[in-house]
Amino acid sequence: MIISLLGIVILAVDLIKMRKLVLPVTIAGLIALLGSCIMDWGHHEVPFAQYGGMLLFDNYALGFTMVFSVLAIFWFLMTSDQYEPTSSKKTDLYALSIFSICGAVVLSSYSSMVMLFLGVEILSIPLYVLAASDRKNILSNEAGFKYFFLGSLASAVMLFGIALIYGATGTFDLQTIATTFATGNYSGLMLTGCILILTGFAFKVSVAPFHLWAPDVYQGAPTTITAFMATIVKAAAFAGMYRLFATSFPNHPQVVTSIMAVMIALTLILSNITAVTQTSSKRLLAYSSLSHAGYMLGFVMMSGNAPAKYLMFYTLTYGIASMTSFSILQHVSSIQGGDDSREAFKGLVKRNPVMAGAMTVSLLSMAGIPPLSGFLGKYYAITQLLSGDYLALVIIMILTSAIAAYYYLRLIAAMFTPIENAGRIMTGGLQRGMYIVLTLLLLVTFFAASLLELIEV
Amino acid sequence: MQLFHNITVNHYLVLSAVLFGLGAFGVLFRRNAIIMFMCIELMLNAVNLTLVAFSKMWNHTDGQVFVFFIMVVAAAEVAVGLAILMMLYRNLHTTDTNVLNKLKF
Repeated sequence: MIISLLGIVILAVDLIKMRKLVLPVTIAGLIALLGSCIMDWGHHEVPFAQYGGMLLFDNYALGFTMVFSVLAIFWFLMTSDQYEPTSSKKTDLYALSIFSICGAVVLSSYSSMVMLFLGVEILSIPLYVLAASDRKNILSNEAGFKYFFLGSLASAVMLFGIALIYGATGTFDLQTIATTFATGNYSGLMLTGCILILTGFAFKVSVAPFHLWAPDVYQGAPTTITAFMATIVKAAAFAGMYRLFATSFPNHPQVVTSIMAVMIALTLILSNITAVTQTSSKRLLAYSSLSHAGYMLGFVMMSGNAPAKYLMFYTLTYGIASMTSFSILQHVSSIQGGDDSREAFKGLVKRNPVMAGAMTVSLLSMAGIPPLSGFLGKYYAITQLLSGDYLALVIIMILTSAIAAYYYLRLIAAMFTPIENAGRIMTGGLQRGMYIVLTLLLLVTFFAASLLELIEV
Repeated sequence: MQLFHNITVNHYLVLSAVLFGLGAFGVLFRRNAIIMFMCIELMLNAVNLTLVAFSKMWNHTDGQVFVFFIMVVAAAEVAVGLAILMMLYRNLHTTDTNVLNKLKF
């Protein structure tokens, strides 16, 4: 509730012409959200239901809401220097992102298919606008257009799936659906619905073979928005997907599991191999984001018998690393006049050591190199798949992460290549602080990860 | 009137599946943005038809209420989509989506 109020407050602040207050108000609101989640944590004996039982704030929902609010706080702080402090565009973008985060919260807490649909739409509709928000830029237009059409197509497919499941069970409630099919005997109607919902989600989280829109949209959208899409939105879509498959279909029908396995394998292979051939670093990061979706889908596939905290950990640590690298990419390419090839990164270590350090650490974390938390995320994914005897998938994961390490290291190598007469790149103090904090977080979460065992989600 | 008594929920299902398929086909293969728009609407209305048919079958109104949600959201979606389309038209002076091929590596 706090979060939807916040969006309205932001618009109100704009109305009364106090645009400089927007950032502090946003951050304060997100911290309040984080605080209220911590206060309610652990009251899961009596999870409090909202709106006539349509939303259910159990520990799972609270955990993911915390992940979203932490990532959002970082995102707002990091992008705060991208806009003029008094431009009206800034307030609009802030309000739209807050509304989108509101959808993310709904997606992590729904207990009825109706709210699932509403959550997906509240998440996506502001994003269509955000992706196209650079109005004069034809690439941003194209990104918004493609995102809109494929996003609406995905929603429609998902809706058809929901309608079929309603037909098979006569209810929209997740728990009731689960009890109706507790025996594991899925009727044809139910199975078709399940596969259609899976397809809709696959579009939203961009796993192969429904990923074709993602690199285009990620590249065309303004980089700050891309960072938003690749982290918070992806985490939200996976939170929704996991909740549905863990609650309603605890023993996945065989065909759904096999479809997911094929999707994971395709995603990992296609995205990593295509990433190697990219010249634009932004597009490379987009493909890397796709390959991480493959790992996250692994958690969803095992959702019947594995706790959700590992998925939360993965989305959080991947989010931090990815956000840092997109933000640095934005800085570097805007100084190079929009050039984001590897050439642009040459000599970065001399030009801005803090940036080069943060970029190196976050790329290494995404490559899964210890002692960074990206390694642990991948480790959890692999152990979970091993516990389900998916040896072939694990082998594909390991082989493709070797390919991934190659293209990450190539970018890092470029940063450490010396160049002639390089001017320094200036960053704001806030941004420099954020880079250091986020880099440290990637280290700290690695060593603090054993605390995960204490949490019950 | 005798004719209409024989219509079961299966007929509605087949009809809506056909409509949905036509819509999906249109979105994927037509190249005119306006037509793609209409196809999205066609898909959503196919879902509405399914929901109402099932709602009648189960003899309660849940599905019909959901249809109202879908209508509202579809309206919001169209508002955003048309705005994007207007912006595109201002920059490109066409609604043919074949010109949207700038984003390739």
